[in-house]
Formats: sequence, C-alpha cells, structure tokens
Amino acid sequence: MKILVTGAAGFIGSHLIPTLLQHGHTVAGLVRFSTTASDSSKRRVARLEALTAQQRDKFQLLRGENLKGLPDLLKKFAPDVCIHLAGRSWVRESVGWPEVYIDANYRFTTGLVQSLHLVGCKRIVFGSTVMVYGKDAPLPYMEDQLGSSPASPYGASKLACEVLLNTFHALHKMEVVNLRLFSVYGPELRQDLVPFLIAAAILRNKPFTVFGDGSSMRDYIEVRDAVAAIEAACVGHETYEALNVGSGFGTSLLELVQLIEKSLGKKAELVYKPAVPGELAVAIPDISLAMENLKWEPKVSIEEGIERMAAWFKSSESPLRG
Amino acid sequence: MNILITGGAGFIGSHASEHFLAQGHRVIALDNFDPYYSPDQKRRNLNVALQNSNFRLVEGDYGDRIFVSKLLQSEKIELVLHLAAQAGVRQSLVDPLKYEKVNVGSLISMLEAMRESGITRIVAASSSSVYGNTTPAPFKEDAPCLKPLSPYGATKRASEIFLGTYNGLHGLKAIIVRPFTVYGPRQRPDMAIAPFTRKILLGETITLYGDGSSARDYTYVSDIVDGLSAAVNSSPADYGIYNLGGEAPITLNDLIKALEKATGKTANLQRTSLQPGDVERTCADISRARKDLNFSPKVRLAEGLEKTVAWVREELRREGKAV
Repeated sequence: MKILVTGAAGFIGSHLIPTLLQHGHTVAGLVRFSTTASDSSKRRVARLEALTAQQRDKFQLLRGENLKGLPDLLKKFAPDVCIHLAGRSWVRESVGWPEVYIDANYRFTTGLVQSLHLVGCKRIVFGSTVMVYGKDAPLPYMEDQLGSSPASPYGASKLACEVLLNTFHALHKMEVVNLRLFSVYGPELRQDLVPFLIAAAILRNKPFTVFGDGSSMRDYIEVRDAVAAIEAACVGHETYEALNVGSGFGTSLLELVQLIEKSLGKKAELVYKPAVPGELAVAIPDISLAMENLKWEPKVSIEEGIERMAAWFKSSESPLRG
Repeated sequence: MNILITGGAGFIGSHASEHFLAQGHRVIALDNFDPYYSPDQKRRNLNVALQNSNFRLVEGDYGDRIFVSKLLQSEKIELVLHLAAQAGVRQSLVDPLKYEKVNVGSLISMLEAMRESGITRIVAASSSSVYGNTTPAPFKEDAPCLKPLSPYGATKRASEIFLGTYNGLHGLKAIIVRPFTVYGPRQRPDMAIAPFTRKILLGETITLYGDGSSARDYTYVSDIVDGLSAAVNSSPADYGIYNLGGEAPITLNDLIKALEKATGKTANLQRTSLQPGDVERTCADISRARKDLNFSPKVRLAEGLEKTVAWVREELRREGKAV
C-alpha cells in the first residue's frame, strides 16, 4: 500500500514510519517546518532524511508549507491511504493561542482532505484525541456520547476536524477512520507531555508541579500499541466516525509519578498548584469498539511501557541526557 | 444597547439592523462587502438603516482581531450579533479553505477580540445545514450533527463547537440559532426563491436539481429576525442552540407551483440531477425556540412569497426590466 503520513517528524510518526516500512508499505512522510522547530524534531527529520537515502524506492520525504500547493505535491505519490497525524496538541497552549490551533489543526486538515480528494486518495486515518470529549461526557467515554463542547480550543479544533472528515465521507464517499487517541507515551515523547515533564524534573533535580491533587486520571497507551491501531485502521474499506484508542486502564498522576520514579531509580520532588481550567479530571475510554472493529488490542502494560521510556530518557538519544 | 452586527449589510443582517434600530438600540453594522454576490445589492440593503442616526456602517473584516478589538472598545459594544458568513453550499465543495477562513478562522479571531475587550455576549447564526442527510426529521437541536453534507455545513458546525468551548472555558454567553432556508426581500441571488421569481417574471428557464421531491423548511426573514430579537433582548440562558424554522416544509415541485400562483405566470423548467452537497430535506423541530424564545413563525408561505415577488418586481423595475 502507498501510505502518506502527515506529522512524519512527530512523536507518533517517528515510530509509525519504520513500522510501516518494515511491513512492506511504500511511504511518503509530509513535514511542515513551521511546526517542527524543537531539537528533537530536527533530529527526527534528520533521521527521516537518512531513511530516504537507505530506502530510496520505499520512502520519501515531502516538504509542504503552502496549502494551495498541496494537491500538486501529493499528485505524484498518489497515496492509497493517508495517516493524518500533523497538528499542534498542547491543551494549555491552545487556551492562549486558539488562532494558532485553528490554523495548524483545522485549516491544515481542510486543505489536506480537499487535496486528498483531488488526487484520488480514498482513505484517511485521522489522529484525533480524547480531548474531544466534553467535561460532562459519561465515563468511561463511549464514542457516541461526547457531552458538551470540548473543554479546550485544542479539543474543539480536533472535533471540528472529525466533523469535516465525516462530511467528506458523506459527500465524496471518502473512507474515514477517526481515531481518538488517549495519552500516548513512549520513547521520543513530546516535551510538553506529562510523563516527559515528570522525568525531566526528576533527572534535573527540579520540583515537579502537580496541578490539582494528583488524582486526575488518564489512560496512558504505549506508542507501539497506538501504532498498531493506526496501522490496523489503514486496512479495509469501512468508515468509522470515531474509535477510542487507549490501553483500557486508568492511571492517576501520582501513580504515574511513582512508576517513573521507580524506573529511573530516583524520587520526584512535588509541588502542588490549583487545577488548570480547561483540563479534564478523568479521561478514561471504553475501547471495545476499536478492539472489535480493528481486530486490535493493546499489549504493553504500563509498567513495561514506562520502563522502556525510562531507558530512552537515560539513553544517548534523550534530550534529558547530561 | 450597543450592538455590533457582523454581516450587517447582508440579507438577514440588513433586516436585523432595521429591527434593532426600531427598538431603540444603537447598531454598528460591520461588513466587508465580499464580492460573492453584488456589493451594490448590499449597499442598497442599508438604504433604510442609514437614515437612522443610531446606525453606523463600518467596512472591514470581522476576522481582523486588532481592528475588531478597537471597534468593540471605541463603540462600547455590549453584544455581538454574528451573521457574517461565507454562504453557499455548492461553492464550498470547490473552495473549502475559503469557508474555513471566513466561517471558523475569522470567528476565533473575533472571539479573541471580544475576550480581550471584555465583551461577554454573542448571538450567532449557524445553519440548518449542520444536520446533513442522516439526522431524522424533524431535526432536533440535540442531534449529534457530526456529519454535515457540505464543507459549508461542516464549517458552521465547527463554529458552534468553538462557541460551546468558549462558553465553558471563558464564560462567553453564546446563543446559537440555526435558521432554516431563509427567504424574503433582499435574498441572496444564489438561493432558490428570489432568483426563481426573477426568472419566472422574465420568462427565463429555471434549472431544477433532482426530481423536485427535495423539501425545504422555508422561513420568512421577519420570522428569523423575531427569533434573533428574542435571543438578543431576553438572553434566555448562558448557552443554547435553537432551530428557527417555518414549520411548513414543502417540496421543490410545490414551491414552483406556489411561485407560479404568486406571479401569475408559468415557469419554464429544465431538470437536471441533484447536486452534491444538497440535502434531501430540511425540517425543523422548533419546540425549544417556542418555549425559550417564545418563537412562533407568523408569515405563511403564500404571504411571504407575495412580499418577495413584490420586491423582485421592484428590483426589475429599477433595472429597467419592466414586467
């Protein structure tokens, strides 16, 4: 299969692309430079460039910035499937900069899906988020029970993307799978994500700030499990307006801190501050719909996943080293 | 009250401007006179409003955050009536990015301008097109509306989602209305009734899409303005979505018959296939608006068509096409 991956230089993209290549797919990775400024993303782009040199016939890197030029950029590769992971995804940042989120998430998705339609791509797998659920959505989250509007502009931008993609299904028969990813973690984790912040505080001997009382609960899914779900969603012709992709288990913030402390062999110093508006207290999914339809199941326990991530934190690849 | 009306020179906006002026409010109409349809028509729409000293027309882009922020503060705006939009279902299939920009991106910029100016009330027009083809009729506001049939409908749904988020996050008081196929004098030329009337009067051929069984819940513009007026003046809640419909959906074939009756002429019809993006039917359940906004459509189709036909005749006379 010819697969286009947006957000190729991102956290999940960097795990997904080698897996897809390993499984015999031909892959094009799309990178946008305005959103890939950090050292780790530069490093990942360099790694992708090396990959193009090694597997010239199987992998290429596409560099796009201008949305209007996107159909031309994609025409030659003519993907069978697009895995759309590009976007900004930091809840707190989105509260202060909603316009940036509209641009990076909603506007980019609009240009992308229209381009895919124009170049005849039949299927799109979209990396949506747990943050589309409203504060009053019943727990565990069921795909058809969204509750009120998302609590953050980030969540709103992702739900708006889901709606747009569903529209392209209704209108053009494009096959759409909206995957609502829960808290994905693992090596190459983004530096604004909680497990990274905890590990960074511990390794740098700095205090870690807990917003709220530490009981806030998330479903942490190891990146290999997320990648497996994404890959499974590329197969077939069914459309799924929404599928929850999580581990199926909740972990509180304090439990997560303890797991990371244990795997790094060092205690964290905790400072407590009031909860941040716009952030959910508990975000736990029912994942049975994804398991049944994608014939997929999460395999990595949180203990094993945290150990593997901790090994990366301590490795020469880690931005926390030294 | 000082009210900013975005899209104030448009079809609904100009009627709303006159209505709120008549109630004694001060109205600032903001319009960019986008050339999607004749800017001259929009200027003529304001002939009545411009005679009122409580009215001010400001030309500009409602998505220009700094400009809007200054305007909100200098005019001491208390409420924004948001009617500006890139309309047109079919064109949205061709250029979805334009619809994203005008209907969503610009709205977020304006919401940020309102936030930094301390303005906490908005009444915003969405659209019946958010219901798509999969919502069971009559359409109720609580339907998920996650699968509109056009990028236009998708952008209007996106704007609702963001208004909901701003309500929860920043306490913005947002009333969203979903007007159903609005018609009447000053109607946009890309819609059905006014252009059909024009063609019938001129003896031109009308192109009908589909077999004529598609149905619309036509709503006369003064009824929509009444609904907006209730939302502005009574502020029923901090947040809510309301259908505003005419409660009498009719098929395209029956609409043509009604127009033939209203004009006293026979329509020349040419039929072609249904256009992508066009839904099969719209049909509002208005019980929520009836309860909270005391909304009740008053203008029956025959009467509304009569008024619309009279306006089209007037337009044709002005253009020197006596009929």
